[in-house]
Amino acid sequence: MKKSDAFVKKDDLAFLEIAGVENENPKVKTFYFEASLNAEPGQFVMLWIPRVDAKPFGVMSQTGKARGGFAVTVANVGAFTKKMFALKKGNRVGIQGPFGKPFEIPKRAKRVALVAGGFGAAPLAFLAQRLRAKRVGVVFIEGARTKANVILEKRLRSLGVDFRVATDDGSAGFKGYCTLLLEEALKKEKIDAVFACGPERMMQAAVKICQTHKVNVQFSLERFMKCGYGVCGQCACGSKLVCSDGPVFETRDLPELVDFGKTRRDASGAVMPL
Amino acid sequence: MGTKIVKLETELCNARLRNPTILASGVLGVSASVLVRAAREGGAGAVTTKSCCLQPRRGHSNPVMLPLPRSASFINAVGLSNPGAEEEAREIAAAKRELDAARLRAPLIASFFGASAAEFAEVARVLAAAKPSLLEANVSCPNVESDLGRPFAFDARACTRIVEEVKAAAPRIPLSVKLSPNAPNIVDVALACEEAGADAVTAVNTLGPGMVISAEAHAPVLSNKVGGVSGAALKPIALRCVYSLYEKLEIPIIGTGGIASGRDAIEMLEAGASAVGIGTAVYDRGLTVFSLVCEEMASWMKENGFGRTSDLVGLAHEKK
Repeated sequence: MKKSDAFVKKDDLAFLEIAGVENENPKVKTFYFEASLNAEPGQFVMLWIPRVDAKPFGVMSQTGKARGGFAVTVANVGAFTKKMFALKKGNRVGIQGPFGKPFEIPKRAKRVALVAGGFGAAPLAFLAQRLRAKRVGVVFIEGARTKANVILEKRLRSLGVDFRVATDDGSAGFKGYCTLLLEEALKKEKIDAVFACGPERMMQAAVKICQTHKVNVQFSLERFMKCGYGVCGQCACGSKLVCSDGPVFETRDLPELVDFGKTRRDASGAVMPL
Repeated sequence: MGTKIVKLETELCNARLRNPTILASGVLGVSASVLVRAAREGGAGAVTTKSCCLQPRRGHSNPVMLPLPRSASFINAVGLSNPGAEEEAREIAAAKRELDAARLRAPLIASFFGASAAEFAEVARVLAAAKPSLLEANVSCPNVESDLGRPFAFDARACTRIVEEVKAAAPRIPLSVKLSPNAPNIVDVALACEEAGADAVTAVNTLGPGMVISAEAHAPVLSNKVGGVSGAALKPIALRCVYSLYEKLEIPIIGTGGIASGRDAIEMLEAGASAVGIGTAVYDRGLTVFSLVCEEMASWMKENGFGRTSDLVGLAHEKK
């Protein structure tokens, strides 16, 4: 079987060669694979390094169907991603997916805002790709600590999005929270829907702003994930399972998401502050 | 044949269940809100928490759970992760409050384990304060041998000690013991539990352990290498275990293993179970699998002239 004929599935483990690695910045890399994933924006894959661990990653981009390809963007933040960073083109990893409920693109949306905090830009980049293919106008607001932490800017600009950046120290774009840029956009421009991905407190602020401006908002949650199949119950947020009911939720899910913006669970299941 | 009214109400260790389907331990049962949802939205007659011990455990690294393609079965080695008994007791109390507030009469079953009979007793004492309807002693997890040793479910004398100590520590809460399909002496172990004062048995835990290998990775896929097999692959073994247990036991049996449809549940009752546990089928049929199984049971019972689930219990046995 040629590599490009490979299909990635949820129930079967595919073992794929890394087709390419791109450095986004010293702490962030994008890994490319040549296989059909058939994912929708917002969905994720489980990435397995044999004898190490497996972790969920949002799909960052996807191309073609016949000669399929997809990419995940990985930040070096822990033991697993450290191992991931040692992998090179030609090394192989296990992939299962796509998992989870994707972002929903409203039918009549003409212009939407995507607000990303840090690595949350990765799944939203795939959404931007899909939105631009449907000729929907995209305001992409990215928040980062400093200019050096801004990721995927070139890729996003090349998609033809209106790219705006906010940094904590003002080294690039607006100095301050990206949610302030969102608020400004909602005040001054016609925005039909908002999509958010990033730290939960940032998304909580984004949700509040959207509620004030009566704009529908979808946001992507993260919880400690074990099975990915909606079976083990580990990734619960309120009565929802992030792996199968999510990771994308919207305003009407908030009454069920009682832990949103407040608590998470560790690997043992113990509740702790975010 | 045929009957007009079918009643699925089931009694189990003095608890009344709306129907005989029980969310099995280890599935969805990490948080109170999801347990409540399994009863409210899913239709479960009772729900079981994920097993806990005295101190928190992280469990095994991923992958911990895999579907076995084309077989409606799973393999898992979650490794008994849990936040410890104190935290679990708070979760149980919260689940009970939510169930009461929603006016759902779904009993809550608290699953627990320990490294010794003394730890079983101590955990039972802590959990009993949260007043679960039933305690379920998990003596049969097949994927923690590396740190907890051989499951107690293989050793009738060890089970006697566990049951005696738990009953002494938590005398007011009925106790079920979750048995292993891998114990060749499962009936002897169950008889020992009954004699020591157990009020029920849950039969059975997962099968194996088994293994999944990635040919291309040249490695077992589960981080623990081995894990328990559940779902359709387990069903005939679970039926055989329940059938054998029913021949000898007086106490009720919760029949668990591969139940995914109403017909599966009927077969399990006929083997001798008073109620059925459902776990793996949550994946294939979704959270509402409990309601679906109940609807299918009710229509089968209506067609075949059975008015109550208790009329079906043990029917597969020859009349003495």
